[in-house]
This record gives sequence, C-alpha cells and structure tokens, in this order.
Amino acid sequence: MISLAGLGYPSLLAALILAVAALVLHGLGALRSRKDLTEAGVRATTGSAVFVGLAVVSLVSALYAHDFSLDYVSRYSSRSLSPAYTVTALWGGMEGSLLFWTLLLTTFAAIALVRVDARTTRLVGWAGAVLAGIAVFFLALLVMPANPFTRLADVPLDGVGLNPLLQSPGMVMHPPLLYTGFVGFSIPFAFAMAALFSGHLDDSWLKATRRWTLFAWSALSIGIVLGGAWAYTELGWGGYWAWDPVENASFMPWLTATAFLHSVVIQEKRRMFKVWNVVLILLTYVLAVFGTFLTRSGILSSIHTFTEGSTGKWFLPFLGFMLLGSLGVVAARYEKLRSENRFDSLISRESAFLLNNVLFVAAALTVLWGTIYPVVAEATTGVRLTVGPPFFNSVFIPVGLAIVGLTGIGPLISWRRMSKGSLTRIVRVPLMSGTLTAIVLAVVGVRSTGALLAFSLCAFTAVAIGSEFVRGSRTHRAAGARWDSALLRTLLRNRRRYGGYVVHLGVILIVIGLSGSAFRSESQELLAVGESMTIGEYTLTYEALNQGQTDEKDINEAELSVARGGNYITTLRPQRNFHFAQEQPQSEVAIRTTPVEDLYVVVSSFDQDGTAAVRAFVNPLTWWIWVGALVMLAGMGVLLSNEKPVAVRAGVRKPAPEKVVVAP
Amino acid sequence: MDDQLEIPSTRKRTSPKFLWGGAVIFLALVVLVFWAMGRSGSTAYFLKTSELVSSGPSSAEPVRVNGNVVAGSVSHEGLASTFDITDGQTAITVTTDRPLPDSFRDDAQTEIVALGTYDGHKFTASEVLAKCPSKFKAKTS
Repeated sequence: MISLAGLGYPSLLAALILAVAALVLHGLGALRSRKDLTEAGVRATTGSAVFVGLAVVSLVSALYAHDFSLDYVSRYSSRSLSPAYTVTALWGGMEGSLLFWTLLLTTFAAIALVRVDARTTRLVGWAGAVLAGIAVFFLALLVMPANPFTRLADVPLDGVGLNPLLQSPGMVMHPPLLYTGFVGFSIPFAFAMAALFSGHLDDSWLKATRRWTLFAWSALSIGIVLGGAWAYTELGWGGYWAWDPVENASFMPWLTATAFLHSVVIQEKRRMFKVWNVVLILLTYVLAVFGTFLTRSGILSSIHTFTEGSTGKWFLPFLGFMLLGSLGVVAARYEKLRSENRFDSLISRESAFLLNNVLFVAAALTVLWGTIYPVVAEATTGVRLTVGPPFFNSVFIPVGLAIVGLTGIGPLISWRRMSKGSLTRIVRVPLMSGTLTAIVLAVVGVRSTGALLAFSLCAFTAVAIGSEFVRGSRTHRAAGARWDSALLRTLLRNRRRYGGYVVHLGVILIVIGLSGSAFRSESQELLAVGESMTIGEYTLTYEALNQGQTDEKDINEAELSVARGGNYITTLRPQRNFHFAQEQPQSEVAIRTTPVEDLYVVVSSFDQDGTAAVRAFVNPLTWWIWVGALVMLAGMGVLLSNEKPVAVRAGVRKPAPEKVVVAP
Repeated sequence: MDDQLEIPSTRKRTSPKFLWGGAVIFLALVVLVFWAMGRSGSTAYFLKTSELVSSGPSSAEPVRVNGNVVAGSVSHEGLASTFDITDGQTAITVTTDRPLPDSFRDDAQTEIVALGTYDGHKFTASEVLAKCPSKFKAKTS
C-alpha cells in the first residue's frame, strides 16, 4: 500500500478554510435570512467533511504502508501489528482520535444539514453556524497542537506498536461507538442552539433531531457496555467498572442524555419543560466535549489518561465558552421558553418524568462531583485526594434502585392526574410479584438487604412492563391473533412506546447482573503443576503448563481442569504471555460463563519452575449484563426503525393543532 | 405514542405540594452525597513518598501513594511482591499480595500508584496500578 501521508496536512488546511467559510456563510445566511447563503454554507460544510475524510484516508494509508516517517504512525503501529488492528491505531492516540472525532462531526453535520425537511429549514442557518464553529475548533487543534501528520527527522525501522491491551475486538468497537455517541449529540445541540438564536422555540427542533438523539444515545450506551466487557475480559481484575475518571467521562453525558430522552416526551405531550430540555441537551454536549477533554488533558490521574499533551489548555476556554455562551442564550430567551402548562397532580405521568429527570441529573452531577473533586480540593486546599468506588457506589445504589422502581411505576400512571384508587389497582400485581420475589429469595438464603431490594424492584418493574404488553396486546388477541403475533403487532404498531419498554427490560436485566456483584467471591493461590485450589463450589486443578511462541509473543498457558462436586466440568486455559514489541507481559483471562455465574481465572505470574499464581473469581449473574445490553440493542433497533412513518401517519390522522401561545 | 389529546389547562401557580416534594428530594440527595463522601474508602489522600514519610504512619484509612520503582528492588516470595518506590527524595518499601499490573517493570521508568496503609516502615498495598507505561504515553517535549 502506498502512503498518502503527504495529502493529510493540506487536506486539514482545506477543511479548516471551508469550515471557516461555512461558519461565515451560515452566520450571515441566518442573520439576513438569505437562503442562498445558507445553501452555500451547507456546501462548504459538505466540502469540509470531504477534506477531513481525505485526511483520514491519508493517515490510514500511512498506517497500512508502515510509513514511520510520521511520528503518529511510529508511535501507535508496528510492522507486526495485524491488519485488523492497524485501523484501530487511527483512534489509538490523541491526534488520531481527534481527527476521527472531527471526521464524525463534519460528516454528521453534512448529513443533518442536507437532510432538512420543511420543519427545520428556518433552523438550518443557525445550526450550520454552530456546527461549523465546533468544527473550526477541532480543525484548529488538528492543524496546530495536535497535528497527526508531524514528520520525524530520523525515520525508525519499526514502530512502537499498539498497546497489546487494546488489541481486542471490544477495543475495535468501543472508542468509535463512544465517539459516535459524543459527536452525535452535536446535532441536537446545534439545533437546540438554532432554536434559541432564531426564536423558533416550538418543538420542531426536538422532532427534527429525535433520531439523531436516539442514535447517539444508543451508540454511547453500547459503547459503554463494550468498554465494560473489554475491561472484564482483558484487564483481569474480575470486574467491569471501576469509576475511573475516563469511564465517568463517558457515563456523565449518558446520564444527562437519558434524562433528555425522557423529558422531551413531556414537551411534546404537554408543552412543559422547555427550558429544562434545552439545558439538558447543552449539558449533555458540554459533558461529551468535557469527556473528550478529560481523556486528553492529563489533568486527572487515571490509568487511561493517554497523554499529557498541550491540547488541554485549548479545551478549557472552548468548554467555558460553550457552557456560558449557551446558558447565556437560554437566559436571553427565558421568557419565550415558559411552559404552557402546569402540573395538575402529584400522581401523574409528568411528575414521574420529572422525578426521573431529577434522579438522572443528580446522578450525573454526583459523578461530576466525584470526578472533579480531586482537582477542586487540590486547587482550594492544596491537598491531593482521590475519590474511590465506595463514594460512587454509595450514591448510585439508592439512586439507581429508585430509578428502577420509577421505570416500573412511571408508564402505569396516566397523564395529568390519577386517583389513588386506580393507581393501587394498577400496581397491585407488580407489587405482589416484587414482594414475593423478596420473600422467596430471603427464604432461599439471600441476606444482603441491597440485593433483596434490587431483585424485588427488578421483579416489580419487569412485571409492570409485562403487564403493559399484555394490556397493549389485548385488542389484537380479542381479534383472534395468537399471543406471540399479538405481542409482535403491539410492539410494531407503537414502536416508540413499546420499543422503549424493551429498552427498559434490557436495563432491568443489566441491573440484575450488576446486583450479582454483591455475591462475588475471590481466591488467590500459588499452584505447582498437579496442585488444586477451591473457590465456591469449584475445584481448579493445575494440569499442565503449555508453552509456545508466535511472531508477536511468547505464550505460557496454564491448563486448569474445573470440577464441581467431584465431576469434571470444563478446562480453562488462562495465559500469561510476553509481547516482544512492547517488552511487556500480559495476562489473558479464561472465563466459563453461565447465566448463574461466571468462573473467571487469571494467572498473574509464572515462576521459573512453572508454578503459577492463580487468581480466581466467581461472579454471579454477570452474564445478564451482556444479555441485558443485547435486549437494549433490540429495543433501540425498534425505536430507530421507523420514527418517521409513525409521525407522518399520526400527522395525517390527527393534525397537530395550531399552537396558540398564551401571553402570560 | 399514546394517543391522548393534549388537554389545555389553565395557568396556575405550582402547588406548594410540589415545592415541598422537590425540597425533600433535593435535601435527600444532598444528604446522600455528603454521607457517601464521608464513608470509609470514599476519599483517600494522594501523597508522594516523601510526603507519606514525613506525615508518619497512616491511620486505618488507606492512602494512595505514587512514585517510581527503584530499579533492582523488586523481589517475590510466594504471592507477595516487595519493591521500593521513590519520588526522587525519599524511598519507601511497598509490599503487596495482589498481582502487579502487566506494565509493571523493575526499572525507574515505571510509575506506580499504590493504595494501602503505611506503618512507618512499610507500605502494605491492596491495589497497585501502573500509570500508562511511558512507551504508550506520547511525550510532548
């Protein structure tokens, strides 16, 4: 393959010039209501996306051509790196990942601006200007402090290569998905800003960007789960989430985005929460950019922090400008954003949604607090501190359980108001199921209060969701449909509602899996060949040491036979390998996974005589986390599959009444 | 989507029930966060080796300490590893029965962060992390 590295920098410059042009054209087009200028702006945005694409092609070609004259290529790839992982070097380092960010941003912007419909033409100018402004910032970073096309004076023969930990299928997908999520929120953010600038504050910006929001949120959700799965299968400490600042950075925008997904429903139904929705989307986007900044600035101590580059000092003013600027615009438009309705009753769908929002935003702020507290404490008192998992768990267990309960109750409550009697009637069955679950588990011998509460709330919510499906499918069954086709019809007829329930069901399964961690056990022993250790009901016998070698690494594999109650179950083969390029050992975990529990084995070292330090974990219910994520994915598929046709049909059947703004 | 029509309602003041409810929830969350911050292990001091030594033995609360490995100081016995770390001024001995991170090496380039307690002589770590190894960390000169 030929290296096109020479094309990279000129392409970035061209993209920057076009982004500046787009900013000016869109800005003028919006200010003077000139459609021709706006159209030129869209063309400039598209052109900028094309040139960023060219820069990416150039860097990827340099990676595959092993063009080590580029500093970036020499740092993040090597000749022995397999082709499948060579492409991941594109986002393996700071410069490349910023380039990838910019590619997504300009591409999404071009698609969103080209695909405008009648509802949003008046927003395009401003949205285009906002998106172009963000693109200018990132392109300026790429052209100046984070140039991925910097040349080396002395060209090395081989590159350093990619960290072996990152050479895993999960890591191929995890960063692009997170970035897709982060960057995807640019579109609703830009249209929200456009609504504020232009004063068209009805919900057309919400409806126009709903698919983008869902798409970004789905990508971020799956990306976060894949990150956890990667940590679980690669890092070898037996867990999947450590509340590390970089994990938190992706979790915070997810929390506010989840709040946003829910609260937009109230704006559409009841024309309330307008300020709140705008604030939520801008908070989400600022947190997404903050997340990118956190991972790239080195201001926080994190094992993930990739680099202590000079881009940090560029990000802070940009973040401050975005946050203050957008809040300023909200303040300026505050009067126009007043709700058109008020709460009628405490027991109403609106209140449930409001409580959901309060909990999600409080959760996000808690994570933010825990994440930046060390920085704040050091700046104010000079004392260096770290905030550990006990803090986050202490807040998240109660808040998370409250959210789980609310997930069950919320959809059962009607809009505006509901009598206590009908509420009692409708929650009776779910409530009984929850209580029954708690009793059965307590009798079986579960003693952890938190886990009992968690499982009974999950049962409550799962039954509540199930009862919604039963109620929804009643008419289809009355018409003679079999129960499975009735359920399917229910799901497909009202995808937004029932697709949402499927996502909820996935979340419940994930919560069940997370709750299993209350019963984890762990054991560590030094085993010579032939010796055994026990963990839980399992006996692990070290049968043999297998050794081998590939071009990349020396392989040392412990063959462990697993028995339970004297019966052989399986053989696990954890490895402790030595990677030549990185001159570093790396453990490969072996896991026997079942719906009941995972047996997780890792060898942390081998002695000269083959004695292995074996660390084993029994992780109950972890399997359900990944299954829950798949269910969520299915729900997201339903939600994303046809938003438009439903909206069109609904519009045909019941034209939206012309909105009447009542002067206060 | 629910096929419910929007029912216009008359504008009225938010009921005091909501204000009270909101205040209770807000207070509950604030109390929760403060309670969580105070729990054992929630926050840990993050010290350099010289700061740790000058502040003397740590109490029951674990602290984090960081420093670079002193080359040649690493030894293993059974599951336990012992090594020295230094911030360039003062060195301390760290012992742990936990696995050392993959990027841990017996050289002065390895910067580690250990969580544990210090008895005045020895730091007993329940967790040892290596900062991203320098080979993968882009150094901006």
